[in-house]
Amino acid sequence: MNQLSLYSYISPKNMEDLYEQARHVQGNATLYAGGTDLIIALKQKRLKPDTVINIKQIKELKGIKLKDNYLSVGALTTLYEVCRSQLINDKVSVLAQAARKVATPLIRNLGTIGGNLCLNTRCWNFNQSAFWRQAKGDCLKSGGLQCFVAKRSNQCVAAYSGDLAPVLIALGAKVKLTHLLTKEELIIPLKDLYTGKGKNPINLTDKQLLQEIIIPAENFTCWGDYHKVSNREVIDFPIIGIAVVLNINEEKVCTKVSIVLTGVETAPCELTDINNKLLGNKLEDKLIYEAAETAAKNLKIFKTSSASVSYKKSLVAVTLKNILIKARQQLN
Amino acid sequence: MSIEKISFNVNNQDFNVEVPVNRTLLEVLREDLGLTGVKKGCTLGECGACTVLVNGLPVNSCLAMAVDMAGKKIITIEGLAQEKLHPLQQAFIDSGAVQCGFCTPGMILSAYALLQENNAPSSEEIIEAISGNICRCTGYVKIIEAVQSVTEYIKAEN
Repeated sequence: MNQLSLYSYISPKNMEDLYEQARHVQGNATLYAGGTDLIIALKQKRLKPDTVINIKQIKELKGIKLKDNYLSVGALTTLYEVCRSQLINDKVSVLAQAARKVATPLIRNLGTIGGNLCLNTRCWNFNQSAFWRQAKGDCLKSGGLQCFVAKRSNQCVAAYSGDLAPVLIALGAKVKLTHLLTKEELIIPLKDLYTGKGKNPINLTDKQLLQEIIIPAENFTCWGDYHKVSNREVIDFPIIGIAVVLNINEEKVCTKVSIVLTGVETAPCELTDINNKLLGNKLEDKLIYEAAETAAKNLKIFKTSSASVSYKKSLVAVTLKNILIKARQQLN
Repeated sequence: MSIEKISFNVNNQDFNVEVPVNRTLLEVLREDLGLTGVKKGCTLGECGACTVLVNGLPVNSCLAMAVDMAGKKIITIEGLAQEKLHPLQQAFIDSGAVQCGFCTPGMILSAYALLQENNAPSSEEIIEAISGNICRCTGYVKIIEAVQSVTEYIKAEN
């Protein structure tokens, strides 16, 4: 029995072929890269595309290259390749560290970095089989009129739970987007890829392609860490994840701080206030404790998984404290 | 229904098949080619029972579209044994690493892929390699022992 519903299928051989075939696509289309999220969404009938575009053969979308002032990672690069890449381990090891925490080795062999960045937001009312959702009725995200989590809200509050986006945002990464009809290329900061809307969290149309991730060289020398808390060490999405990228000078003063969270809000959550609070200061106990407690207090978290709001806030405070203390120990 | 013709190699045998584009690799292997050693478990990539090797790398066959397998080389548990059981399969039996056996094909293929690139893995490396394969009855200690017991053979083979 086929678990997937019917769709048209195209498999372009290269970018030119993709542009040509995309012109003839009818209805809504979705891209098939790693497929580890797409196929589950198709099985659960959360996604019903008219056309699936398999982009796996497009070599222009693969590869990790060091350029003059940045590291380029093709969107089709698998998570396995990100974990193993000597270039990534040398220049931005925190990215390889985070990639090793995504799902399982089996999934990392299929899943791609571009797909991971374009992960849909998750909620325990939405990430269920069609049968399960039918019993409860549609929530806002699956086309209904009411959010089952924030009942007075007219906005979906499903949480963004990707592991790589917080690290790459903290590293100041940009992404190159390509329009499949006009061939227009656009480079935007990765943080702008996220709309902050639970229902449509990724700022891409079905005529746009995420082609490349650009990591600036200025952050190669930064200290970085990504800590993920999940129910199980493998497979699970993060209950919370925290990426920290920072630098201190000879006087032990922070000259760069970037803290980004995942698993808490509808988009990767950059703690700009906390970054500014730490910038220009030494990582002393009092400051670290204040920063971590303030960060947790200010988050707008909804109960989109089995983890309670207060539990998530406590995890954020404790984890952020631990990472900043670790940074101080390793950098001093 | 949209159907594509593909050629691929499964267990060192070439196949030319017509596959509906909405069919997963798991469905084609089990239902069209009769390779029922590939187990159908959660079908959501969580249990690893459907693990096969695609071009040498272990993947969840429930999360791969069959139509995307054109030109690829696939190994299932049926392709591991030659005239007799592969030493890794024998080690699973000898170490008592099999109870109900449902996870065993996936577990062995994940371990086999690890041993192909690392002939003396540590316990931690074995645990990481099989972390996508869930066993709900035996537990993991005997499985790790089985993989470790076969490393000497793999060294000699390489």
